[in-house]
Parts: sequence; structure tokens; C-alpha cells
Amino acid sequence: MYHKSKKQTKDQILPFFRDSDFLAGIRLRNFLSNRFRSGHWRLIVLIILCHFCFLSGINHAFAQDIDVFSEKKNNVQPLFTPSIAAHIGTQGLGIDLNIPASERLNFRFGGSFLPLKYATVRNFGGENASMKMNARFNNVHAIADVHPFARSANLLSKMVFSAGAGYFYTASGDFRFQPTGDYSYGELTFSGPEVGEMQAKMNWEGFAPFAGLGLNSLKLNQRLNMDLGLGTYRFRSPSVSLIGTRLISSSATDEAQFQQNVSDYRWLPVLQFGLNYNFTFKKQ
Amino acid sequence: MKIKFYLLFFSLSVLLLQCKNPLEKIQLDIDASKIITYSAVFEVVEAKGASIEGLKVNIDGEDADAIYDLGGTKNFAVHSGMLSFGVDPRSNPTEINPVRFNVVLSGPGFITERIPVTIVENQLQQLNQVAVMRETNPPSSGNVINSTYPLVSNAIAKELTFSTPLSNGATERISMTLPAGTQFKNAAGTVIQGSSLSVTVLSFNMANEDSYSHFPGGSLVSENVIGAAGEQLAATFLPAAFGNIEMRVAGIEVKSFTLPVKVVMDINAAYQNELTAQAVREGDKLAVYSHETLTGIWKAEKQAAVTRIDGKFQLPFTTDHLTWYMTGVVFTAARPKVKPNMEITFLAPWLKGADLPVTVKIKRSGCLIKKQLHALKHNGKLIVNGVLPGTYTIEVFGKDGKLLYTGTVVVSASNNVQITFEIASPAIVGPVVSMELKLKCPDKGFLITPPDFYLYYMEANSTGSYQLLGLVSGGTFTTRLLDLNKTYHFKAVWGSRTKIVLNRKVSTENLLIANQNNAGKGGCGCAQAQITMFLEECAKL
Repeated sequence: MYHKSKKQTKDQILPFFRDSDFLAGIRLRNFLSNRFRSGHWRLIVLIILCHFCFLSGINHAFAQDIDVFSEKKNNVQPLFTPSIAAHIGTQGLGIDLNIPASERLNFRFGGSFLPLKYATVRNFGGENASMKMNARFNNVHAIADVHPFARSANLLSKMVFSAGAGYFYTASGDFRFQPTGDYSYGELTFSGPEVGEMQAKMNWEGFAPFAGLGLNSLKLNQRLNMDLGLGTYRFRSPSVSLIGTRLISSSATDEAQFQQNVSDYRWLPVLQFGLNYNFTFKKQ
Repeated sequence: MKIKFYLLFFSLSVLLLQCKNPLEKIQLDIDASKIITYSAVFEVVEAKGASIEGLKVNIDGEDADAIYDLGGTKNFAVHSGMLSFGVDPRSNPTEINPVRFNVVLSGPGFITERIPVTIVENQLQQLNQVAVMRETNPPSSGNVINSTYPLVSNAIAKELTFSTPLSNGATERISMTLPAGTQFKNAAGTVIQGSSLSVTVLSFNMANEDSYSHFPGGSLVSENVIGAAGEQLAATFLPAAFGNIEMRVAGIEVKSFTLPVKVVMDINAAYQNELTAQAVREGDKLAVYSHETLTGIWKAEKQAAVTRIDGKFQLPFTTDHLTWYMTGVVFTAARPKVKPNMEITFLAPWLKGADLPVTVKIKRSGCLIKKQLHALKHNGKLIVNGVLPGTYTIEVFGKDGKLLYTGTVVVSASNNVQITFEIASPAIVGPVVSMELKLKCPDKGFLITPPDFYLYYMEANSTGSYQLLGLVSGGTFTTRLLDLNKTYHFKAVWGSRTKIVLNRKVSTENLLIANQNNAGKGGCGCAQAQITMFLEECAKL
């Protein structure tokens, strides 16, 4: 029985894995080759690796799940159960409260916290400058999950489509650039800290709609199951400010250019893993 | 299957839409106007309008190391009649630590001048005038005697008396009597060997207000004063008379004598003795101070009594050394006095954001304590430092010397005095003219806002000289001194750079832009005319 299940698993998963991923790869390559800089290839590879990873994870979890599922084919286990979930992902750490409305509809209420810090050296027109970034994305959200394939007998039975909105009460990035070398003015020489900083601030605070999809209730044990989600928030264009401190000039022209450069920085991708605790489970 | 593919593709592609480099076309630029934020500018002229070629500039003093020209170098020189100094931004003055240094102007044929400069916190700009004098051709407010006398055995053979002439309207003079046998010593105290004595005595007509600008240090206040007990003081001088005595033997400067010499300084009968609150009288005790140009230090010498001979008031005293001398009432206080005494706020709403160049005279008991040039703005401040407690008269003069305001201020011994003066609108005032002055650099594709600088002007058809129009800040400027549809020449001086723009007409074109700029820079947005100038000076700023 077990081997048969495994073969079924393989037959069901592999075509999806090979076909869709292969085609997706071709389409992506063509799509990207004319548009994106090399830096983004690293992001693409990371996303694809994540894709492989979660599919592999699904394969493992699903293998067990299929076993149970095939046994209880005529007794559909509800995908949505009242539960508390902790999640981690690209929108940070957070907690959700899941309140099912029906077999196919679930409401999630929760919040996430994402602090980010980063430092590097950038080049400004031939001059090196250190860059320090501090960003925070903290939100509360309300999301509806729809389970359209409740009666399917494969991976689709775990698939949900999500839509909702988050209120980002903190959504800002603070970037500080400081020359790394010395600056000379006549016989006066100033070090980087004496020259000052260019402070670039971006703010997306406010409401942001969310859309995504995922796999829910990948069972770990009787009370614990795992969710995998992929989606995105869409912000308004960020409001920005660009200020020079000390000797660095503050230019309205530069600020307008910065605003233009980041006007399309409106997406916060969400790739997250959730761990649900089902507090209504009853042993049978 | 297709649905699954498109779902996956969508989820990946949305992540990659934000690809533009956020720093594209953004430069990390240094704003030159933020480097030198404190400056002191001097208009340097020769007292009689002659050339100042050959005049050298040096600086010394406690904060001299922090002083640069506006280009950040130590190459100090007069350019187009302007001498500018800037403070290293790392040494900017604070509330308790002003910046102090001395400007020394010297050169062949010039009387060396040492001008102490103090810059206090919030005193971002100051504009001063210096009129340098030539030894053999004094200003019209002064009189000089240049004579040579024979020496026998390196000494005066018989008593020698000489005086400055009474000319240029002067009614007072300085006289000197050398007793027979007087020998002459150099700075080292050694008797100088020579066969003749060259004498130059310079006195000033105290009834001529211009004389005060030649007072050693350029004003009647000083923070470099040694009291009678050797203590360090600040002082406000009310001179009854002052002058300079120089002697040379065999070309070597005489600094002292082997015998006391007698100096007699005539005193104008109109001199107000503040100690008695009356005009000078016989028997009044007046202080005698000496000033050494080399060090810039005033030294209390003695008190002497006023005498009256042949109806003329005189102050005789003896001395054994040569320097500048003054006699009069002197008020002193412990040094340092770090806070500015006067913060004068000017109210002139009729300026509508424009600058108005004025001359501010601060007087006490009839003596011109300080004369300051100022680019007056509505709600703008003028800081006058170093003035000791007392009652002062403030006079504000506009274009062509017209008196715009006069008032009285009492300075107490406590901290700052903040005064507000309202300058009444003249009967006729010119249109609001907005000016935009940018740097246009061939190697850059855009305009650069220059650092703050003083702008001068003259009518295109005039044979006169450039007059101060005001201080250009942030590349924009507003004035009410220009007439509509007239053509002017303009001169911009910034450090060692001078830019002259000829034949600019005051027009009513582009008033929308003019008003936008005018309103954005603290003006009223009500310009009636506009001038745009590109200065085209693009060296590293």
C-alpha cells in the first residue's frame, strides 16, 4: 500500500514539477534577458531555489498526507481549522489567528514585524561612499483564504488563494551614504564623517492590498500543521526625502530624481512559512 | 496544468518589477556654501583714493590657524578692493568661544595697520571698511609732518620742537619736544648711530568724523588692552586726540629715547568729557594710552591733566618711547567679554524681501565708536560686539549718506542687548527687482548655486565707482535700489574671484519665475522686475 502511494505520488508530482518548471524557466529566461541587470539574477536564482525547496518539502509532507488522504478519501478533512499560526518569511515574523467561515473560506487576522539592516559600499559618480540601511515593515493584516479545490485528490486540495489588505503602521527605509575618502577644499581637508551624510528616506506607511497563493494544512502531527505562502503586497509609491548633512548638499533636483527612481518600488513579496496550532482538534 | 503554470509565473515575476537603480543620476555633492559659513569681509581703499598696489596682508592672533580665504587657502590678498576671510567650519565660534584674529596690512610706503577681528556666534557675515594710509600722504582728516634734523654724536644738539601743521581744517596739532642730548634707541634698546633724525608725526582732526576710521584697530573698541597694573582688559576709547610718531636714525626705527621727551596733544574744545558730562575743561584728568602696531596691544601709560594755554586745551605728557598715542576717556572691563553687546533687529516691511545696504554708526559722547556696513533686511539682525556698558547713539544711513534712523541704546553690564529699530520707508522707493545669479559651468549640464557673496553695482553710463548693493544668498537677491528699464553694471566678488557683468537691464520679463523665486527665498513674491545673470565661475566650489 505504501509503495503504491509513493508511485502515485511520483506520477502526480513529477509532471507538474518537470513540465511547469521547465516551461516557467524558458519563459522567465526570455522575459528577463532583455530587461534585468545581473544583480537581479541572484534574486531570481534564490526564488527558484526556494521554489524547488518548498516543492521538495511539499513532496515530503504531501507523501504522508496523501497516505492519510487516500485512506479518508470520502471523509474530507477540513483545510481550515481555528488555529493560531506563527509565521516567518519575507514580511518578517508574525502571528495569525485563523477563523474559518466555511469549508472553503478562511479569515486570517494577524501582524508581522520585519526589521532590516544592511551595510555596504556604493559608488557615486566615481566616489566611494559607505551605505547603511535600516528598514522596518510592521503591519497588521486581514486576509481571506479561498480553498476552491476542496474536493480534489491531489496537491490542489491544499492550495488556497488569498486576498486581503495590510495596514503598515511602519514601512520605511532609511539609507545613509557617507564618503569613505577625504575631501579637500583649498587647503582644508575633511574626512568622511566631517563631510557628512546623504540621508535618503522612503516611506510606504498606509494600507496595502495583498494577493497570493499557498499550500495550507500540511500536517506535521495532530495539532500542528504547516502553511506555505507566496504573494505580494502592493504599496503606493513611496514618499521620499533626500537630505545632505554637514557639507553634503541637499538638492531639490536630486530629491525629485530619487522620487522618480523609486516610484516603482511598490511591491513587498511575501514568501513565508507558517506553523499552525489547531486548538479545536479533538481526538477520535 | 496551464493554470498552475501561470500562477507560478505570476508569483515570480511580480517580485522582479522594482529594478531601477534608486541612485541613478544622483551625485554626492559637496555644498561649498556650507564649508565657510562664518566670514569677515573688508572693503580696502587707500585713504585718498590712490592705488593700494603693493599692500600685503597677513594674519595673526589666537585663532589665526583657523582662518582661510573663502577658497580655503591661506593666500590672503586684496582682490578688486575686497579682502575676505573665512573660518574653518571645525572652528566656528560658539557662545563662549568667539573667533579672534588680527589682520595686518602693510607695505612699502604704507602705514602698517593691525585690525583685530572678532566673530561671535550667529555673526555669520560682517562687512568692514579699511582705509589704509600712506606715510607721506595722509587722508584729508589727518595732518603729517615729515622732517629731518641733524644729530651731533648721535644726539640732538639743542632742544628740538616740532608739530604737525594746521591744515585740512584742523585746529589741533601734536607737538613734540626733544631735550638737548637726547639719543635714540632701537627695539633692542641700543643707541642708534647716525647723523640725522627723520621724523614723521601724524595727527588727526577730531572734528572730522573720518578720523575715527584711522584710529588704531579701525574702531574705538579693543580687547587687547593692558591696564596700569598689567591686567588684561577690554576697552572702549573716547579719544580727545590721537596720533602716531615715528622716527628713524640711519634708516633704523627709533623705539625709545635716552631722555624723556615731551608730547603735547591739542584737544578740541568741543570734546565731551563723559566723566564730567561736560565739555572738556582745564584740569580734567584724561588717560594716555599707547598702541604698538607690532603687537596690536594698547597699554595704559598714565593719567594727565588738561591745560589751557593761549585759549587752547592741551594735554602734555612725557614719554620715553614711540608708538601711537591717544588721550581721552577710556572705559575698561575685564577681558574676555565673549557675548555680543548689541543685537540690532531692523524692521522694514516696505523692503518686501529686498536688501538695503546701509552704514550703521555707533557713537558715544560724540565719538564714532564703530562704523559698520550692513546689508539690511526686514527682520534681519546686525550684531555689534565688544561695546562696553554705556549710552550709545545709533545712526543708520542709506544710499548717498541719507539718514534713515537715529536712536539711543543703553548697554548694561549684563549680557546681550537686543534692540529693534523700525526703518521708515523713504518717500520714493524703487520697484522690487528680483535677481537670479547662478554659476553656469561649461563642463556641467546645470546651474550651480554659488556661496553667499556681496554684489556691487553702478549705472551703465556712470563714471562713478561700484557701490554695495547687498548680500546675495542662495543665488537669489532682491533689491529696491534699481530703477525700471535702466541698465546697470554689476560686480560680484567672492574670495579671489571677481565677476563683472556689464549692461544688464532691469526688465519686467519672466516675472512669474521671479516671483516664485522671490517668495521661495523669504521674499514676498511680488517682484516687479527681474534680472538673470550667469556668473560662469566654475572652479572647484
